[in-house]
Amino acid sequence: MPLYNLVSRMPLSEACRERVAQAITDTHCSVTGAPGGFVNVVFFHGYRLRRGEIINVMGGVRKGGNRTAAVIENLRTSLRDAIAHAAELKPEQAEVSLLGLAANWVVEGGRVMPEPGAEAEWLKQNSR
Amino acid sequence: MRKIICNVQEGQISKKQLLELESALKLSYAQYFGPKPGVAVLWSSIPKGQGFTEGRASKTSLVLVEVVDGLNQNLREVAMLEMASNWARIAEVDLDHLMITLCDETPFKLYLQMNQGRTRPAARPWFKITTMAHLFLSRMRDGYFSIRTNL
Repeated sequence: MPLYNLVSRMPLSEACRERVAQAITDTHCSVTGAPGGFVNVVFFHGYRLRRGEIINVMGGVRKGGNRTAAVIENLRTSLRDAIAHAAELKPEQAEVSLLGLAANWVVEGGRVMPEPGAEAEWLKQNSR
Repeated sequence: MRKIICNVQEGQISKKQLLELESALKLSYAQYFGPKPGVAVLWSSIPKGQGFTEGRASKTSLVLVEVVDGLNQNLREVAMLEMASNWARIAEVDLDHLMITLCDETPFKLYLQMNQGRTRPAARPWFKITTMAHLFLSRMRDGYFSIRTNL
């Protein structure tokens, strides 16, 4: 967690997918402080999106801890802008929606995930 | 009936492992949450080049399990940890390459609705019909339900 599920009408090139995946990872980490190793991105294509949309992203992210509503909204808009830039689109051609899930609903590395903001201690104990 | 959605990177597990994973998931689910209302396991293969972790080609399997709203947290954690352990053993993967989420029913359904809602309204009936058809055809042909990834 997070898992970002990105769909498009046409397949994105390999180079574009790599740029977008990196942009999502960098943006998520810089806004939330979470480590990059948590960030998963999947790409699918062939979706008939709404008119004007080229890329649509649904993100499942941890909620609670130090993530206020303002942080989540900042994350959403920052991701939209970063994805659009990486894919060489206008911001309005990329749509991002986020669904917050409790951290303790998720297991990674064989352990229940930490509350947002408590990653450092969790990583120390989990040595990635 | 509740659902378990398993997203696996293409080529990472064999069909034999997939069927064994499905049995193990269903067994754990029934053991911890009872036989009713039952659970269906849906498989999705993420094509090579389309899955990333930390900006690099991913080896991570992503499993989303639907559970009752307000599930007791102790029970949730015990179930998740057992499912993770079973998965790592059967699939012969490191626990670092597995994410399992036991998600309350309401946000789980919201997630599926959000996914459907991404398609333009006029295309949604066709999306639903072809998705259901693919699920049942795959079940008949391969012995398990598989979700289309690239449409």
